[in-house]
Amino acid sequence: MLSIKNISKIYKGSNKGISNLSLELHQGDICAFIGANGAGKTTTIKSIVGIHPFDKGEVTLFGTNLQANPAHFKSMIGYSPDTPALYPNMTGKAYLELIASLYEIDEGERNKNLAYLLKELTFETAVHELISSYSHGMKQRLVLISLLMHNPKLIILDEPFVGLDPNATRFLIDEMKSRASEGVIILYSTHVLEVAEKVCNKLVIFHKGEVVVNDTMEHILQKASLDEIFRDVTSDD
Amino acid sequence: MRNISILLKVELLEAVRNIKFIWLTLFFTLLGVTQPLIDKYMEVIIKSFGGVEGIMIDPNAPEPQANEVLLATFSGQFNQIGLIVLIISFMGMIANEKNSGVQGFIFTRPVSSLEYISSKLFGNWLISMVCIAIGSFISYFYTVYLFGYYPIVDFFLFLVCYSVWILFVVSTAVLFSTLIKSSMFIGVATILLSIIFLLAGNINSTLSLFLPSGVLTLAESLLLQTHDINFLFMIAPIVYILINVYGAKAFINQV
Amino acid sequence: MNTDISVLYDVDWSAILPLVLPILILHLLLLVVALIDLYRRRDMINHPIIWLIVILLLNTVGPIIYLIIGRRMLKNDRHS
Repeated sequence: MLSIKNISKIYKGSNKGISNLSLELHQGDICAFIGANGAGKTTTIKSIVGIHPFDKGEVTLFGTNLQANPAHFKSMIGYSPDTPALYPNMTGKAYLELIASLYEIDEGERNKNLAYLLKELTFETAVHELISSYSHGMKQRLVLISLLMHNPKLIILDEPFVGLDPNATRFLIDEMKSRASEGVIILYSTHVLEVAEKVCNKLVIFHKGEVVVNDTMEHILQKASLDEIFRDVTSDD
Repeated sequence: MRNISILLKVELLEAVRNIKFIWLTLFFTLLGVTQPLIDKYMEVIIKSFGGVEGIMIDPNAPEPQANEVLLATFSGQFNQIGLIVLIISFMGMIANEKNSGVQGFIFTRPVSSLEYISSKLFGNWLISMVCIAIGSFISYFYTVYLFGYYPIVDFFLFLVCYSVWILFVVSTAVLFSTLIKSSMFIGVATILLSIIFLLAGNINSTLSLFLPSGVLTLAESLLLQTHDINFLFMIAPIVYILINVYGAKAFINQV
Repeated sequence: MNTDISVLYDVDWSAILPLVLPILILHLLLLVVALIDLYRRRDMINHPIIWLIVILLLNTVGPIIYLIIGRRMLKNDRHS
């Protein structure tokens, strides 16, 4: 279970950020973060994965507190940033080996996962090339492989579908569903409401650093269509 | 420990790919052979070029000893232009990764900030010391060839002390990297602070007991084989290095 | 300073050359390393011609400046 309690993060020199945000996700949940640019989606995500230390509040995953035991917390998550930052002078393979060695995972299991992911994402030849020659989509696929390799219990994806080709998009959606059915918690931010409607069972809408909607997809869709609700809650002023 | 060695390997591989090992070694070798050549043959060279008016050379000046020339190499070349180029070569080690987002991404992995900082510190120290060591051993052999014998073991001890000073310089750059955004200003701040410590260390030996550059005083007395060798000079640099590392850990702003 | 070229004939080259040779070789090596690297990265970095001039004209300092700064001044990523 992922539990986020009252976290706040205000950027210095501005009043942007997130305030008093609470959220609970259970095993098997697929949750989408939606909201306008600057609504606080990425800030929340970066706080959960440990890039931005937040000002107050706490984050726990299956009983492990992020601040008390960051190494163990981080070994359980897989995160894909909105803009992948990788070592340009490495080959994809060298990068994957580096990342794999940071997580203490069984070598046989890792190789099995790796072979599967490389095949599914058609990355078997590209993995031997230098990262500096990759396109944005290729970098994203490499990040996806690197985060799924160690079987994380919480998968966090920031705008995962931007720049992915249709095949990779389909693979990612299938992978999200099948991993969720195995008990993994998945959380991602997106602008594409249609995909969210099809894939997710939970939805969080951000507006100006606050959570304005936090409900199951079923409940939300009973009231109105996603599009209407989104327009409704984000245009109140 | 495991993570430190993994990230350290990345640092070393990056230096190999950037051909840093080659050019930095060449640079220090160049500095290392310049000083003995100047000390030995300034006279010959000036004379051969027809004698420059206004330059007087004392014919009775005694020829310097090998260890004096080596000291001049370190204090006159390595610790001046050498140090500046060295600092510039690693001033971006953390800033570049911070600005490109690589650092943030590494911190979403099970890597602690202390492991990251240590890998940067020891990685860049190792790179610097490999290049400096090769350069200074070539300088040693050249100096011995020109000025007579000096025991290599003593020179090695000197180099070990000098490496502690370099470790302090790298740790300073690490600390500034967590405080300053631009790699250029990190470099300038590190160079200025190092020079201040170098100058302050020359004032007197009691003061340098409390300075990181005190280890250079120790190195100097080892090289010149004077009898006032005082290993207490080792304490200050180690304390400063620890302050820098833990300061960097506090300022790096990571969970 | 005596800049008359004829003075070069009077120089005792056989005495000086063995001493200056190591330095000359090192300078040359540094120059070659910088030039090879510039050639290999000519399509990636900004203003390769200017860097060529800097490397060739500024003795020692030129290659060093290129190796520290120049080779990192890359053109924008073509893919992004």
